[in-house]
Amino acid sequence: MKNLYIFFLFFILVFIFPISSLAQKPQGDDSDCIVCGEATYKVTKISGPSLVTEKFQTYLTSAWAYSDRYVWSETTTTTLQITGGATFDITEAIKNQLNLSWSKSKSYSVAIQIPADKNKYSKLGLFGDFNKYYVKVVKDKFGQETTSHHDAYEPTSTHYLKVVYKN
Amino acid sequence: MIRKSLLIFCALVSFLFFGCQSERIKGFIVFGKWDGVYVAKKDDPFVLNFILLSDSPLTNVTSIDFPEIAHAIDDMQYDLIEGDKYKDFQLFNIAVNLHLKEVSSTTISKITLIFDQKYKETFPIGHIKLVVGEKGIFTPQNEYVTAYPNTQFFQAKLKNISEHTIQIKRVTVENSFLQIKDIKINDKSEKQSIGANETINIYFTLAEKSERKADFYIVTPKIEYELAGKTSSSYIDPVFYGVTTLTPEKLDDMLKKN
Repeated sequence: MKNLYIFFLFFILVFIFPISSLAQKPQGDDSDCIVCGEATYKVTKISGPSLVTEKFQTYLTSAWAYSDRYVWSETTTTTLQITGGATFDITEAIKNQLNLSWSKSKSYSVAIQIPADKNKYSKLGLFGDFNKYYVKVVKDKFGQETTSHHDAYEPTSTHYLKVVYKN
Repeated sequence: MIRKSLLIFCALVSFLFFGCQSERIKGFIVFGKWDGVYVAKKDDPFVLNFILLSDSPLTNVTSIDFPEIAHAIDDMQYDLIEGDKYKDFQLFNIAVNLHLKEVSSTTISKITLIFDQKYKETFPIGHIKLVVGEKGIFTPQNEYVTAYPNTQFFQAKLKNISEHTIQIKRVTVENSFLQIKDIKINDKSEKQSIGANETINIYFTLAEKSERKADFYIVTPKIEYELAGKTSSSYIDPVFYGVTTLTPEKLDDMLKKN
């Protein structure tokens, strides 16, 4: 009889407890929702636009090199940048509600070459001028509001090619 | 008499044939005009771009030449790079790397294209002064803008790599169509004392001198300074203006100036 009790207890511990744990809802945004669905976002511009010049966009060459020139042959494009850990949904909401540009490419292009100091390690970088906005985003999911603040950098068509030296 | 007439006739036919063929091969070509002053250190190449619009694919360009400095060229490589289409024209860049022989200064204003190794045509390209300079005492730190979209300003962080404290007297550019204004060194006037290994922020604005202007600019700023009562100068690395912004207005301007 005692053995039967021990076996029963073992059965509960080994099989039933883990299964019931697995069946629990995952922790996250939707953990408490009863009728799950889309959140809504309200974007408010707190300040801006203010012009931010020569902001880094991307490196156009991958490795550091001793090079006397760089050839850049692709269309240079700068894109909308949102700080503060913005999700895709928040980025979309800011872009659409403030009517910001997603990207700006220069009009016509042909590859050009630019000189560099061959005695120093360097890379070629793309920089651009951006319109900066400071925004508040309120996410509403069935009455539960969460507020976040972000800097939004809207690209302009003013681009710079910089040789970035490793000092 | 008949033989003489035949000879004249043949000469006339040949002239018309070759003349017309050369014209047919070349088509319409127009180069963007430069106002450039390019100072390169000894052993460094002159890295040049000649941007042009053509109504033909230029597949028969077999070589290029700079007739004014042909005797002074030590080594030259070029690439004919095809770009976007604009209206009925094709954008190209002739990207040239040039080493000069023992010449301290020269100017180019023309480029010659050789078609099918036979026919030559020379085109104006504005003016680019090429100077072989000594290694200067200012070297760029961190990032250095080498291609600006337009001629609004210049800014750089530079380090005085000499072992002396110098007194900056003047900052100038030697371009024909450009002048500089509002020169600031470390947000103050240009007349500054700079210690050995000290880093400075230099900033100035650029303006076109008159209505005459170029499509593209190469600017090599020059810093004049005094050291132990002696005046010297040092060039900063050259920068390009306008080559990264080929707007429809600029391309139309190139076509109009032809």
